[in-house]
Amino acid sequence: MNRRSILRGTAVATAVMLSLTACITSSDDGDEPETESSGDATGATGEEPAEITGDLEVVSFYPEGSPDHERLTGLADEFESRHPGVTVTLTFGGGQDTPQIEARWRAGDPPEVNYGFMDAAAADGGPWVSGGQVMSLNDVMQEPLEGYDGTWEDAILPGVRPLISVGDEIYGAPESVTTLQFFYNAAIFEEQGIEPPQTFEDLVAAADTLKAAGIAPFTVTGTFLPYLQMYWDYLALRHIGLDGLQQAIAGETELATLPGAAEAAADLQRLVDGGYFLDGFRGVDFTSAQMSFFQGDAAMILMGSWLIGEMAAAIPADFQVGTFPFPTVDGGSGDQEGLFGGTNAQVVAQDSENTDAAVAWLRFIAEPENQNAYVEGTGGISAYTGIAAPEGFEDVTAMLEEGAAFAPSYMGILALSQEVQAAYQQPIAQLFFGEIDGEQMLTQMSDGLLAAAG
Amino acid sequence: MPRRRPTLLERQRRRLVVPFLLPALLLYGLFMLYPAFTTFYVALTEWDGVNAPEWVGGGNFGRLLDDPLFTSTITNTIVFTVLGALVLFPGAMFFGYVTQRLRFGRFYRFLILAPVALSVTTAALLWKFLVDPNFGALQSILHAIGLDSLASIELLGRPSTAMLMVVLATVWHGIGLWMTFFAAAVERVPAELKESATLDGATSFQVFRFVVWPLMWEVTRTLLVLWMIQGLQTFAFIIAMTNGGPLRATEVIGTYLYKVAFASSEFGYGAAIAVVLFAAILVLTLLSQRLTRRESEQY
Repeated sequence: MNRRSILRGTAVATAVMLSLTACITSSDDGDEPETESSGDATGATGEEPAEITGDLEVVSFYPEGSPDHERLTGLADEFESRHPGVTVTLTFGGGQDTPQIEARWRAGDPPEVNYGFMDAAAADGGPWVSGGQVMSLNDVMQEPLEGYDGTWEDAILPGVRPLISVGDEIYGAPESVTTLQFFYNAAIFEEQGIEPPQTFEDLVAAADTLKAAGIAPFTVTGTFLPYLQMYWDYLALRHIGLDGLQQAIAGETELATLPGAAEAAADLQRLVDGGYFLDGFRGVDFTSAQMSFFQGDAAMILMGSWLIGEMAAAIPADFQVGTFPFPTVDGGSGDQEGLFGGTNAQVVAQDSENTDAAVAWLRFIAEPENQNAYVEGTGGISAYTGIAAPEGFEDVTAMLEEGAAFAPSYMGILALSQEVQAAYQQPIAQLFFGEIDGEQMLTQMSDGLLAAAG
Repeated sequence: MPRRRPTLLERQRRRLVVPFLLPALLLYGLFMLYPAFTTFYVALTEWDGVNAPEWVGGGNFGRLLDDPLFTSTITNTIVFTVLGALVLFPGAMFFGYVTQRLRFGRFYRFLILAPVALSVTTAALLWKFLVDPNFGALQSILHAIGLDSLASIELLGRPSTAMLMVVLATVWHGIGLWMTFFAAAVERVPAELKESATLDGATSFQVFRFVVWPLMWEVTRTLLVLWMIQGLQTFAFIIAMTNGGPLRATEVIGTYLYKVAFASSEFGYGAAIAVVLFAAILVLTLLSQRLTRRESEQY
């Protein structure tokens, strides 16, 4: 083949490749949305709601076949019957499938309604918000919401509002609230004459009673570090306080020197050394750990409020569950009433094709009827005013109504660098695995966080 | 001797090849070369996957040198690859050779090959639940036969045993395929050579060791290279069974890369890890090819 032929071939190949690339990238240029809606789709201004049509893709946090996916399927059917021109598709995008959804955002083909994509703890809301890819809901939040008095924003519990906002801008609509607390087997507690512990000493005493009776006090998974981390988070919150802990994670202060840090580490070591955790916990995954709680193998589990909804299919009909907040600590210089939690906020992708239908879906989810059904069906906590809390979570709703804020679940470290995560979580795991003591854990964590911060 | 000028027919024939190759080359370029070059570029930037990448030159590679987490993943990846080879190759060779000689050899081969049909996730979860300390079948069996002390071992929860369990699961899932390769290699060995050795008084082991094995060497070294590549890239079994734990004992390059890129949104740094992995595979493949080269046996 002579040089001219090669050049000619290269030119043709380049032209074809460029045209293919153009085909791929042209979707980023804000092409026409499929929706045929026009004007205000919210129907919130008192006028006749605009007709909404087209496809609407909603991300489901749980996979097909799960109780929560079935709940969403029912909602999708109801939504379609209200809006005959809309077809709702549910796409699983929770857990390890999240990167697939993120890849679609990057490719300019995001689903309309999504979980995540907003980090309210970050000053700029995280990369998706700062990159302008999450639609602001400010305007629609100022409109009335069906079934509530006042605007959509007013309908949201005051304590939840900071979790869906970045500065003055609202980017998320809360589907529900999640909190981290102890769940206990009420039948076992009654049998053993144990009251829900109020203080850390009560908790240890209860654990001793249960252990003496041959029942494992706690179950936990050793293979999913955020769940091990919860014990330390709470002890540190009680002994040190949120601000100090956040500064230490950011590398702005030395954790080991903070008042209360040594006491928090000592208390965690006390729980581990007491042998209170179910045998074999180091090798079980979280499903197995949760199952052992509902099978009566362990009396308590420190877990998120999603536990009941997540395990609904596996909970025996006669199982009696109770909840109590992580106990207070004597002499702690931190926050004795603080609660770790967050919200399952849903956001609308700015580049999605049917944002009107997406907003209509978020309003639909927020309706009192659907929120009540959510609470009754899953045992979850609503983020809206006037919706009764499920049994055991009344205090949470009251607290949020008063405007008190959550401490961020897992101290918000899951979005940070691997160095920070490892520096924070690995020493905790090493303590649980019996490789180091509390003092060593504190030193390693403290040094590691400073090193990770550079 | 002067080079002969191609005839018109030869030149036309060569030109004719181009349009046939072009679709494949385009696809290769689009789906292989373009992403590969993009990865090299991304490795030289700091990129969160959303906002515009920021050029940092070799900064990500410098960071790798100071990253103890990355260093430990290299060790774990090597342990996985070596341990896997030590379990896989003798096993696959044994089954490949023995099932050739058994009466229902094809049936046994089918049984050993069957797990390959399972998806990796299914196989990994199956093993995970098999050894679960609370509800696992293995623990129940050990308790039933009185081996309570063994039953209490958290196989996936101890740094000393977790990697072995992941290796066993990986080998169990794929050994049928490797056995098939070895069985095919054994079949290629002329029967008369084995018969001659037997007539000379060689035992079955000696026939294998001194006749079959040398003639299978070319296949073995190719398979060794393939395993090395697979081992260095290992990801799925670990992410599904241990997620890199316990205490990072099974964190390998693949899982670390995934977490850096997709959990921490550090795509530039993740791409730098990918580039290093690519270079390591390339160098090790060439090295192993060179080191395992022997004069091939003719038959």
